[in-house]
Amino acid sequence: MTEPLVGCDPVEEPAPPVLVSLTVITPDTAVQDAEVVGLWRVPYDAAEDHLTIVQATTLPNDPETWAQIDWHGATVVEGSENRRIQLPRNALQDHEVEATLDETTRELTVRIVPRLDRLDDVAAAVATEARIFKFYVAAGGTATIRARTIPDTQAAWQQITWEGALGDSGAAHSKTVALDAGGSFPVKASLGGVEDELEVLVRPLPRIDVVRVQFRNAAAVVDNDTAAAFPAYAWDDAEPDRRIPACFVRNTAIRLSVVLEIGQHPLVQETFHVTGTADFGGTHVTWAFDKDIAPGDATPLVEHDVDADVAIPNVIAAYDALDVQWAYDAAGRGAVDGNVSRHQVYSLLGAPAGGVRAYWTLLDVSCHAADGDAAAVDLANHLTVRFADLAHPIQRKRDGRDLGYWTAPPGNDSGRNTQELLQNADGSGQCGAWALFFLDMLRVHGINTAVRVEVDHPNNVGFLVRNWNFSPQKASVSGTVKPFVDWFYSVPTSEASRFTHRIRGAGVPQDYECQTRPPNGAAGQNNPNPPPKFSNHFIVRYAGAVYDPSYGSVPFNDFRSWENASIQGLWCRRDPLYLAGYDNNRRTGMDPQMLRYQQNFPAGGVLSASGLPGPAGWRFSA
Amino acid sequence: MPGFATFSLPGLDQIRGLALSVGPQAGWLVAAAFSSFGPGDYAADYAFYAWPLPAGSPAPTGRLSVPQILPEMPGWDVAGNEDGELVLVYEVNGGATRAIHRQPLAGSPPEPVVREGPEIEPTFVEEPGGGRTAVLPPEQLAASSPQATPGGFNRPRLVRGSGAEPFTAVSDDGDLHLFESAEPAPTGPVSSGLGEGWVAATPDGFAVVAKRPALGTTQPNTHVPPGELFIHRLDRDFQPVVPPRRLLAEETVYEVAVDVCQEMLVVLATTPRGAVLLTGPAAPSQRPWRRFALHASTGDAAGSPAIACDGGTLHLAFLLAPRTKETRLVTGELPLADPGLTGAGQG
Repeated sequence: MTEPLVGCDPVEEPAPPVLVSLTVITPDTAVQDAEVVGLWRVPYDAAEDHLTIVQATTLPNDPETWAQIDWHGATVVEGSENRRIQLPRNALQDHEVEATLDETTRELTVRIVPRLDRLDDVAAAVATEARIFKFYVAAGGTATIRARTIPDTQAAWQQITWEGALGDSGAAHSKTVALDAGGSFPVKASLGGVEDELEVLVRPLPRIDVVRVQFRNAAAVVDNDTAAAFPAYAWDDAEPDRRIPACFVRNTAIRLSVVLEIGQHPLVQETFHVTGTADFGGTHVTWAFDKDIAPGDATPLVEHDVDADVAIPNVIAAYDALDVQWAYDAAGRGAVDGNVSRHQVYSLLGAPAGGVRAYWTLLDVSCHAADGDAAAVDLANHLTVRFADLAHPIQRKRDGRDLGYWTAPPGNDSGRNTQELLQNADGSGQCGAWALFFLDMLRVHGINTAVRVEVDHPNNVGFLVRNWNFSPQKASVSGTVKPFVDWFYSVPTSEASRFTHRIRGAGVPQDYECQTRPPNGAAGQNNPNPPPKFSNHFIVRYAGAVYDPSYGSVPFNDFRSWENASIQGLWCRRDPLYLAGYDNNRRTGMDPQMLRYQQNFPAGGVLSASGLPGPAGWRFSA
Repeated sequence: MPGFATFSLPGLDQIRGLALSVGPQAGWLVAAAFSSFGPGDYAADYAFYAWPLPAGSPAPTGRLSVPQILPEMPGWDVAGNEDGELVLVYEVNGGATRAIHRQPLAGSPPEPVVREGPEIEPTFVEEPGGGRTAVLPPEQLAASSPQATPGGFNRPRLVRGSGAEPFTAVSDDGDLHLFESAEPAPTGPVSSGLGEGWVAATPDGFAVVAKRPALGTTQPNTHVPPGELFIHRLDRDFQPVVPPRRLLAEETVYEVAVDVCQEMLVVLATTPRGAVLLTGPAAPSQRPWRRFALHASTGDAAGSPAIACDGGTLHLAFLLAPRTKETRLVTGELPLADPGLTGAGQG
């Protein structure tokens, strides 16, 4: 330990006290301005007892020195030994503070400043997620963002700093975000060192599209005339103009399923009222259903089994260009038109008979021919009219190919039934095909009582289709005059000599009496000159009438009438010659029926007295 | 695949066969065509021609001509019977229905069944691959009156492995009927709704290779409609033994030829991609079928498949570009013992 020096040292004068600084010590949010010396910003506080404190620091920094401070413009804090003064914070104002100690004076300004409290939740948002406020696009519309300040006064609002693509609301405390277009619009406000931000998200209005339609109660699947099958749906937005044919029994309320694509999800779950409307020949048909769609729903959505409000008209019809206008109304905002699904709809007299395929051509020809009919007999009659219109050949619907009777080039096959007729590259069919084609047009409308009838002669004799020229009888090279003989029905095979003529051919001597045929015989389907002679032929019998679809002739009351109108005579082959005779134009008197008629050949019964039975036998089911 | 030769046969429509080791005719393949006599002739406007061709050559040994009153190539088939004769079945279309005639081609003297008139004269052109030029002899082959069946049947096919006695035909409503040789009427449908069928007699019954109608357009030029191929196994009473089985899955089939070669069933089919050879067990079996593509696609349609086995050799033939001026006959033969053909040694 060092001992103090003992002596008489000179006494120094004490240094004068110095006011070193003034500091705002409360509240702790007071901020000294970085640029303006002596400026302190103190947040506004409405409470009268919430004061701000300014404290002096002196040298020496002790109560004795503090007591010498001379404060101006403030009230000394009680108990602070004159070191601190207090200032009110409940008014936005500047407090000029000055303090003097001995020869030093210090000044500062305490500025009571406002601060941002918050940005209000944005009114009228469709949905809110945290601080994201979601709106639908609305032309001319705005979302208003309101700032709350402390104090929430005009003076404070004017000090707010805004950031964002904002519009003027007309009030100092608010800004607007335009809702004209979709997008994400961040909004930021700051005041008094306090920031707040939010996002205004603007989305297009929710949108749904009908992208696929499926019929649920069609009468049959339409066959594309044996070509590649139609798609399973009735309409698809991927091929918006393609009309896929469908058929329904008349007076049916069409049921369908609808596939919806969500083009724009709603911001909240909404109920979409979906409607489809169509005009079936003046009958206004509507399909309607409600579909709840939520923001996260997967797409597409399917609505099954939507029934029409009314049935289609109770007649046969072809609606070739049936458009369904789809629309929806989401959350009551009003109807919005959507896609138009395009269809081709056939209305049938009845459900197709079992086993018949609903080929497109069958539907199209029959429904157009019998448009407006509601009775089977009318359908048959109008089909006859169509088949009789030889100037306008029946066309295969899938490719527009004219269908004909024996129109294939020599050597090519001609179809023998409806399928083969529609599949045939030449569009050619034999009489069996045309008979079945006619039958199937009835069967596809549910008429199953028409039958195919085979016409032949029991004695291996063929017949000549009308418009042959039988030359007058005269002596042959042998000098024999053959009498004209009115033979009928059963021509004995041994009686070939009773055939009065020889058919002209390349092997027939020209000095022999023969017969020729005019350039054109009785025209058939798309064929002005079908083969002139046959051994047999298929016709159709329905409701007591006789139809010959191959030639499109008018219905006949009985077989004999058909025969007289269609058959010129008979022929037979006696190698190497072809003989002809029994000219129907020269037959007189009782004018009997020559030919045999077998129903449902080969499996059916025989209509004439001397026919062969159909083959009996058993069937093997594969 | 060894032993293939190609001959140009412009104008040839179809071939059928095959009949092997059939005596003096020595024919194993029959070619056919269809002709029109042109305007002004109101008798038999058309004719169906058939020429037997000896093995390995396109030179015909004769000709059969059958008048037809309607402009359509009749359905027909040919095979060899047990007496060494070629037997032909063919249609004569009466309009609504067709008579089916079954007629041996061998015999002498041939009876004239064809009338005078313009005749088709296909040109048989020599080919570097082994063909030779030939002129059709004028003589006829028909030797006896044909048997005719009444009714609405078409596409007759002789039953293979049966001595060419029975044949099948398809009714207008699509059922396959079997016709015994001595009966003018069918014994009954052997299958229903199967369309065209080829029947082979097997030791235990029948194998029916059936072409079911399929969607799609007809084959160009031949106008043969498309189908799907199935095999049905029937016992001697035509009852199914096992469920039908699809052959050539996923492929469209136009025409088919079938034969039985010992214990193997051979099928030659034409498809949009050409001719395809299939071999499988003659009797119902789990053994897999084997498939061979016989020619890469040349852009020419393949038609008129014909196939038969003779001894240890499998003979086959088909046309390329049938019914065109570019028609070519492709013939080939394969040893039946070829393991690749039989699948011998495989499970």
